[in-house]
Amino acid sequence: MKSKVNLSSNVLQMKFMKRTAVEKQEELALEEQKHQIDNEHWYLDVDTEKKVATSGCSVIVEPSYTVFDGIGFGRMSFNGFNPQVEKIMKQINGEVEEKDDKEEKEIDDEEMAEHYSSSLGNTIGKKLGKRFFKMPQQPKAKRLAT
Amino acid sequence: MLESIVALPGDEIEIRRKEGKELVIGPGLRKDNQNTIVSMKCGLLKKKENFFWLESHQKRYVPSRNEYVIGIAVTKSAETIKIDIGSSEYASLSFLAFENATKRNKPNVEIGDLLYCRVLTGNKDMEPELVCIDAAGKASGLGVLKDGFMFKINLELARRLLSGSNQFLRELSKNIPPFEITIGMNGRIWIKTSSCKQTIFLFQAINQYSNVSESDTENFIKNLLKDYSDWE
Repeated sequence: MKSKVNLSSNVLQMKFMKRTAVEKQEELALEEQKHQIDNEHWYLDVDTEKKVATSGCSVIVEPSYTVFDGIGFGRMSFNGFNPQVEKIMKQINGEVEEKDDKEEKEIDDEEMAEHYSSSLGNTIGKKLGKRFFKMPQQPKAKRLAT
Repeated sequence: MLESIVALPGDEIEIRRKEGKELVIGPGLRKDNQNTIVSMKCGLLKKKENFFWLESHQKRYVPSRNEYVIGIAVTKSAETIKIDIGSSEYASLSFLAFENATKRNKPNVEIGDLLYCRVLTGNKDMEPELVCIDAAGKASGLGVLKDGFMFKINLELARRLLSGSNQFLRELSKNIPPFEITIGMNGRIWIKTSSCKQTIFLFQAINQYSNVSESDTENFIKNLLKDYSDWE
């Protein structure tokens, strides 16, 4: 469908265009009215008194048994047959095992501090020392020339 | 706990409720136009706080949202797989509803495969829709179930085995070799063990369990284990 060519508001303001302007306004009003009727069409006139009477007690209808019987996830594995499923089971049952921090650490904090206090001088110290006494590199240009 | 009330279809159920507290009614119960609650099935009326529902014997699965089910792939098309979940209609599962699936990278699902999936839409007027991912896009246990053995039980038993308070499988597993089990809300159970003997044992144990009450569970397990040691 071709879209209607609209005249600009400036043109419609001119004296000789008055008739068209009025026509256009009427058309718009008519369209709006039609639209309103369309919307109203879908609303049902409900008897308000009746509505109040029925909402005295609220009843919720639940079609599924899951809510009532505390029915859980149906996939289960026992004695480590499928570790993946057992992990999911634990997650769903909320049995989140707290990881023991102490057992996971293989090296003690103190041990580590001691180790580094003695070895730092040998490792990183050596590295730094080397850099200080490094011979300056030969200029690049010279190397390219040869 | 309420003493068990037997309800027949059409029975009016009177529930005295506290003001201001919502009442939640579950499967088997329906609210009437006259604001009374009517049962739709025959079964036992159960109560937990302000939750009321009917526990009834049933074999036909009616899908509802957020339930986990075991399905069988029936037909494959370009974008979806039709899955038999035991409901009145086949459910559809999009190829994109798998972990790491894209338009180019489709998951490898063959016809006849077993899938553990979640029901996304379970509406009585619409085809059920399944997904194999959680809200975060992770598979987390959903997807194709490889190998193993599947059998059917009634829905009541499936729910019983799945309920958080039930200790049957947990207690049983303490005395037998490792195994894996998946229970669908649609009454399908898939088990995977390392020996044929154990599969048969579990199959029989679960089937017999439907006639055992909660209080007898402990004795039942003892008897089962006695039998199991005789098999060896």
